[in-house]
Amino acid sequence: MKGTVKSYVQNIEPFNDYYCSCYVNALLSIILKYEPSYRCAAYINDYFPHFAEYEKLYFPYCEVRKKFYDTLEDCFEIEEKRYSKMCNCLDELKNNISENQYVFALVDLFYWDRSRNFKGNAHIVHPTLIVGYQDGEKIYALEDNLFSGVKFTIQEYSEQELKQAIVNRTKDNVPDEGFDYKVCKIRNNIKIYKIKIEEIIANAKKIINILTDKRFFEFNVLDEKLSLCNLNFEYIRIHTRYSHRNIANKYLFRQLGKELYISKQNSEKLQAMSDEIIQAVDFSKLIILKAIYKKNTVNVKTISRIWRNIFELEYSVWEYFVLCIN
Amino acid sequence: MIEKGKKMMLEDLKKIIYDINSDIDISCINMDTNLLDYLDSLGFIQVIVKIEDQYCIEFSDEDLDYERIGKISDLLNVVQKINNEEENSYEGNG
Repeated sequence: MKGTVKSYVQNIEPFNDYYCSCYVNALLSIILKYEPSYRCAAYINDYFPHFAEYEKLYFPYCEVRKKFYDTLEDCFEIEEKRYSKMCNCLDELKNNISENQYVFALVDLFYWDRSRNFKGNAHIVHPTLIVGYQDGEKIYALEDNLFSGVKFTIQEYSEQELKQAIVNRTKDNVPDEGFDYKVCKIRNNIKIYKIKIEEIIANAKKIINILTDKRFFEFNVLDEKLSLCNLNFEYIRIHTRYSHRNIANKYLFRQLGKELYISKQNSEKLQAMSDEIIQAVDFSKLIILKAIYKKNTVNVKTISRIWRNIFELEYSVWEYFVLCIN
Repeated sequence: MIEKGKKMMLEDLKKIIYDINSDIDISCINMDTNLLDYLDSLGFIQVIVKIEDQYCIEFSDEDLDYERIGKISDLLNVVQKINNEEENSYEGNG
């Protein structure tokens, strides 16, 4: 005889203003339900452009700093846990969800990513936010599709799919993160987030300093490395991240204009400059995507030219920002 | 008014889009449609590659710009331009 079907789905608002990372977008999707002022924290320019080896690729990318993560994680009491028994993993997750706690389960993307387009081709750890379940049948998780830019939605999986992605994470040489899942309990007294303009100026100056590094304009390294690499979809993720960082910058400049830190005119000019960067990154992305799709090589000179222009534009954006705020 | 050649190309394009994503209502697609409203970047590139195969042409890297070929009328203009250039170069070689 079939027992009573238990079900539970948490209240969540997918954060889709831009793509930062699966983890950050998921944290914001929770926090904004409780404290909407954190939308501005999401736009803070606490990031660094980089041009070095990244996950075995050699290509420009950008990454947020630890402080950026800390600001968001401080809204929670976070506990990293191990499953007591792997065979009971789903029950453990469900128990936490029923207690209104948010659970990030580490899964192997090879089994979890249905598109198989991105990391789905490799065994890579991914923290998926499980937001609900219908006992014995379905699991609900917050997931996105990188090709569409950013579209985090609550997606339905079978229990079997989740179990396979969890259990197989411990096999196939996937590195151990030191925990199996994270339980995040939202704090009762989250402070209202307020923009600190000094912090944004300091971050802008750091980005200018980084982009002054001559390596950013010496693409002979890219020439050598890119031609040696097998093109893969990870390059597309790097592009998406870079263009989305500039979407975040647009939101930041709009907010700074609203709060009168900069004039409306300057806010609009900085947003237009960011649009130019986004367009240039998309251009590079399409060239590489076509090469991947057709199994061709790319014209590295064209890619180098585009990225040299992107760095010059980004330098100009932050230089102009610092000038107009003084 | 849409010229005959472009009208045929638009119909070809609708079929290509439908093959890539059958959830799209292709009756809504016209010359003013922006492909990015219907397709993600992978879908967009799949359209480009299928056009290349169907018309035996090749888009240059410079053409791969949403601003340049995101809108269907602009995309078909570029296809026609490449077609003309390739025909001219063929005649020139002949």
